[in-house]
Amino acid sequence: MTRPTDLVQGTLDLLIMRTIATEKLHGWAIAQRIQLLSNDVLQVNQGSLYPALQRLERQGWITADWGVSETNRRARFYRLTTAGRRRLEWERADWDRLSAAISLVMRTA
Amino acid sequence: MRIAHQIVALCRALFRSGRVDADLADEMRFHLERETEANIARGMPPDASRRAARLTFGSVDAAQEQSRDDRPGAGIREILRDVRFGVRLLGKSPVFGSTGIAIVALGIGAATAIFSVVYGVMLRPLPFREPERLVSIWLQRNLARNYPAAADALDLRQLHGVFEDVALFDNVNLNLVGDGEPQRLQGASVSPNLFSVLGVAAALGRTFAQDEDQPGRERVVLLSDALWRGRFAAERAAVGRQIRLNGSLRTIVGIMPPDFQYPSSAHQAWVPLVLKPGELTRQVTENYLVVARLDPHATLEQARRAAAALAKRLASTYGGNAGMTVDSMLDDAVRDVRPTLTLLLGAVLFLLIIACVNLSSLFGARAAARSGEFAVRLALGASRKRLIAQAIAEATPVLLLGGVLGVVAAKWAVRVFVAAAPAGLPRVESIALSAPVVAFSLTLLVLAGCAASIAPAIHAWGSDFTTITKEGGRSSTSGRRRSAARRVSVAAQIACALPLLVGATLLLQSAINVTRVDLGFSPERVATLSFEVSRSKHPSDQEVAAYYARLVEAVRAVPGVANASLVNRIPLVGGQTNPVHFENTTGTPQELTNVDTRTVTPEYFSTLGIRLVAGRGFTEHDDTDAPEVSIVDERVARVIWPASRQLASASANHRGGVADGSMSLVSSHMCGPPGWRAIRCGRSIGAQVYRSIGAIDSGRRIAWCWRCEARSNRDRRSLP
Repeated sequence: MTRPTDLVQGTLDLLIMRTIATEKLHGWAIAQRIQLLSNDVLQVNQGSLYPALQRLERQGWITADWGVSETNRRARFYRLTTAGRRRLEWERADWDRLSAAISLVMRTA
Repeated sequence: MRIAHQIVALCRALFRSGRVDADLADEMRFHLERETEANIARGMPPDASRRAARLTFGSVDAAQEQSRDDRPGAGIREILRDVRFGVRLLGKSPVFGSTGIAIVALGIGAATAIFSVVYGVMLRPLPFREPERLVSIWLQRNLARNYPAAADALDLRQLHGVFEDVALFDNVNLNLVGDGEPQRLQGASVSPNLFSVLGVAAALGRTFAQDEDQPGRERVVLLSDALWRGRFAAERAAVGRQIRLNGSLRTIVGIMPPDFQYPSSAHQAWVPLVLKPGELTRQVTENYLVVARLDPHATLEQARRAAAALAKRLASTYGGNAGMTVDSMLDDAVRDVRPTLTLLLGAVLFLLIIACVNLSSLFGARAAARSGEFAVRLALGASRKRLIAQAIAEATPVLLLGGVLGVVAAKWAVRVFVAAAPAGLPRVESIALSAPVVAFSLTLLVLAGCAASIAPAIHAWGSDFTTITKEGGRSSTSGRRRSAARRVSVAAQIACALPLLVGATLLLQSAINVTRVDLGFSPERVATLSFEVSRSKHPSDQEVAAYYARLVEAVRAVPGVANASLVNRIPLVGGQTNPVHFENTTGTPQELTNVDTRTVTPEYFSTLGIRLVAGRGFTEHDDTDAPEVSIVDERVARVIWPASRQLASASANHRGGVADGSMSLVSSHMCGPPGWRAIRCGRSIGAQVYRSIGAIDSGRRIAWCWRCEARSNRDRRSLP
């Protein structure tokens, strides 16, 4: 089993926003989805997931409603707001630039 | 949008924090259950599944706490918690609390009250348009300020580029007759441009047109808001109505706004000033007050230079040595009270410093008693910053309560002060607990807060668990340091209290001295009243003199009246300096220009109990047919004929001397312009005096009466 990679500071927000960009998800599902999409490479520290969600919500980028989960229990579902969508675009562009720059350095150096 | 969102989040965090926490707990519980289920689905036994879920999640409490710290308003919540703690501490030690509150209330209250006065009188901008451009102009002869003449004002008006416009005015008494009780109004005779110079418009109607100072056009009047409400029931139709003032009809053209109180809050009516023809050519000089508006591009310095140059030109053309002073209108208005008020403010700041030092030692003592607690909390992981924040927060309830009490006390004190304000204090009407004053008090409160929390903060900073626990908080070094701090604070308090004590003693001493000042006359049991003489009824000077004689006789005949006499201005009121020429003098010309003069009937000196030093008093024979005679006071005699004690031989024109404090000259021809008259009488016979005067003059022109004694006490109070 490979050691799960620590998330780069600040990228958790980006990942959360990306995962709920297409559909409403509750906290646990977000963590699962990130793990799944990254082929188990990225493992979300579940303890820090909720403070992050609250922070994003406070900034108005995501919003949450109570709903019923797939297991028929009360759960809080998060989705992206319009402001959040714009923010995600911006962060994604930023990320692309950063990762391209890093790979460039790695290749040439 | 973002901001609104954040405000909502802040409010939720502050006021619904329990709900937010419960929601989060719920959410995390669901997460754990879901994770456990997933583990079971992967084939793990239930117990292991639950444990694994917990392991992956980490500490629920830590997540909860982190999210709470992240939430907005975390700092505010912490402060509120500390303040609550402070209130609880206050409840536990009521003596400590009430002492602290009393100190703060006293300091803030006194400082706020005095600052209200200082701000209202000295600092608050005048209620005119761009008041910083308004200046007052005086003639300056040596150290004395004299009133400029109309021609001076008109010459100043020619200084284009320095003064935008120059206005002049004089105070007049206006008798309003008709439509009810006759009323004597305090009025001002003003050049029509006064209102544009001040930048004030009428509330109703209009102010004066520029040509309404021309003879024939001057039959107009402006009324104060108070008079309009009092006498004309605030009818809009009052504008355009005609009223009879000093015997002539004038049309009311406008009502001034309620806050227009110029030259004083007592002024009720304004009429256009019509200059006499001789005034423009300087053949006749009347005294005026001159105010001007500086040109937008001119500075006060430029105006001073230009006015000085003009004064020099005038002096070389017409002789004399008068200079001109230009001062900002506000400075001019408060010139006489500025030193007193500054002193008062200084005293109250000393008081405030004492209060702060007291507060500091009070809180310091409590912090010393709690140093063990500080040490334990530090040992348990509280940060020093946190302890200091708590020290500040704990002082807050004391400060807030004391501050509120202080401001309430100040509001009350200001009301009492305004009601009993010494005569001669300008701008009393603008003294109030205004916004800048409250801002000042808040600043002081912050200062007091720093004073209160600095000692506990130092304690918190210096707390050390090992020292405290080892030596029970009484380590020799810190004990020495603390007693040194105590000594410094005691020294500071004494240093601040000493000037206050000395100042208060001096003040008391001068107050005692003032009551002992020899006024030169005895104000006891003297009543005064004033009246006007109708020149239309008594056109010649002889007729006026005969009228006066009848009036004095009538008043003297009232039972209880010991004596009665007339004077054009009662003692201690106003000043009238006429150029006086003395023969065979040794004094310098300047000394002779500022002689206060009065005109009296023969009995004046005995009525007021003024002692005659040499020569004779006036008699019935010193009338208009006799050679003119005068009486000077001792000071004039000393200045003008210092070598001679024989006043009678010094000049044929001077027959006696009286003991009096001010330079004064009294002449006997009581037929000049009407003015103030003094009547010596008992206390309860005013009504009878009114009736007997009314019998000879239909009673219409008597204005008011007050006891001279009370008045002189009031004036004594206002002496510097």
